Amino acid sequence: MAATMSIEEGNGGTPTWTAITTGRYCTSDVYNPGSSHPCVVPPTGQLYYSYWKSHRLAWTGIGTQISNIKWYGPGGDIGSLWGLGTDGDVKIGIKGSAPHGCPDGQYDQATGTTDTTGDYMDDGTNGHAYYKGAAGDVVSIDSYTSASPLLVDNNVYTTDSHSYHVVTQVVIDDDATQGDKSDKTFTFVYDEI
Amino acid sequence: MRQEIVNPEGADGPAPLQLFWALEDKEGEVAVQYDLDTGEERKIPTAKPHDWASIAWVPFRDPDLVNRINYEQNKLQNPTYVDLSPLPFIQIIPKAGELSRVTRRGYLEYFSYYQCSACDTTFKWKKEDDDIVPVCPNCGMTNTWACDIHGEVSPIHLENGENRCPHCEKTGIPRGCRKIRNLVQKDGVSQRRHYVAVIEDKIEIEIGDDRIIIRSL
Repeated sequence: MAATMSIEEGNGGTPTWTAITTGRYCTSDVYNPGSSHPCVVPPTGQLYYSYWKSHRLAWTGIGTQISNIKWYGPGGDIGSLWGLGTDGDVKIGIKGSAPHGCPDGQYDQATGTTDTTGDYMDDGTNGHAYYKGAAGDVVSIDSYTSASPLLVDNNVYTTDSHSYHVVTQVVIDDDATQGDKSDKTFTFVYDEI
Repeated sequence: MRQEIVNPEGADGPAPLQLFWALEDKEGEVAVQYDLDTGEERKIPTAKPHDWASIAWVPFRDPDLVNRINYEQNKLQNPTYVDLSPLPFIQIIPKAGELSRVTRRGYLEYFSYYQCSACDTTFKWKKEDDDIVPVCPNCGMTNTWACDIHGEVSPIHLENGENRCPHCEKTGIPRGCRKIRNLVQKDGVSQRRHYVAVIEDKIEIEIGDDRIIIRSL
């Protein structure tokens, strides 16, 4: 039997997890914002951010087990691909060693100034508690590809459940450009039997 | 052009299984994923690496077996259907003492794509130096631009992302253009499933998407 898989996004202080069909970045702690709360190009000399996103893999109808949960992005220079400006990027939270996903108990709600900028994940005061400062690191997603995915969760699950969370965020520099954006694909990988 | 036609409407669930596992122990006993007579599914004897004499992924080639399995699956709350497959039979025979296992590997992708409002073609587009705007690979439709004064125009695309009306530009009073979104960016989720056989710490063979990948571990 093959499990039924979905991707869920967590929102709120005590998170509500909702199955999503899109990981659209925006400037509010909401899933599937449509065209509301768009990311904003900052004034000269500043960086703006999207609110960070917490996504996890969830499943029902498990067979024997699910394990080896990984994640990767589209590869290449996504800052350039999306015209995010000189220091623009898409960032992901990682730890000093695998697994790099955020456990349920360490979930941290995305914060910021709605419709302007999110707080930077690595901000010493308002950043994500599981990744900011010495707790972890916040790096570009560029190096996580199908050939070298990020190990999110190394638990072996034998019941219907969900994985640790992947936490990502868009960084926008003041020379970011508006216009049509290249399509992108983010991928969760897992083993099941 | 860097357009790739996609079919997100058909991506609401994984494709049927194309291969089933078979495991041979040291005594020559073979366990397979399905009862070949009834089509009932069995659990794998052990999900942990095991000292198998051989492990295999077997393609579904017998239509009657496929029908029996799908009949049984149809009785379940969460059925996993199977289908005939052109994929090859893959068997690994480990050396004595080498631990081996089989697993399926799922890929759950969430992605964006464009949909053409003229012909409904859905496609992915990657911006490149010589391909700076999306173009429908079927009918050639692009997003168009309109000036409030001059109507539909071919704008001047500036580095900073502005799109100015060429007629207004000549008057010395620059005016931006409105985008008419003939190509609408949407989001979707798709699933793929591969079949993996592993010799622990040695090699991994992954079958799927019309290819076989062999990795050293």
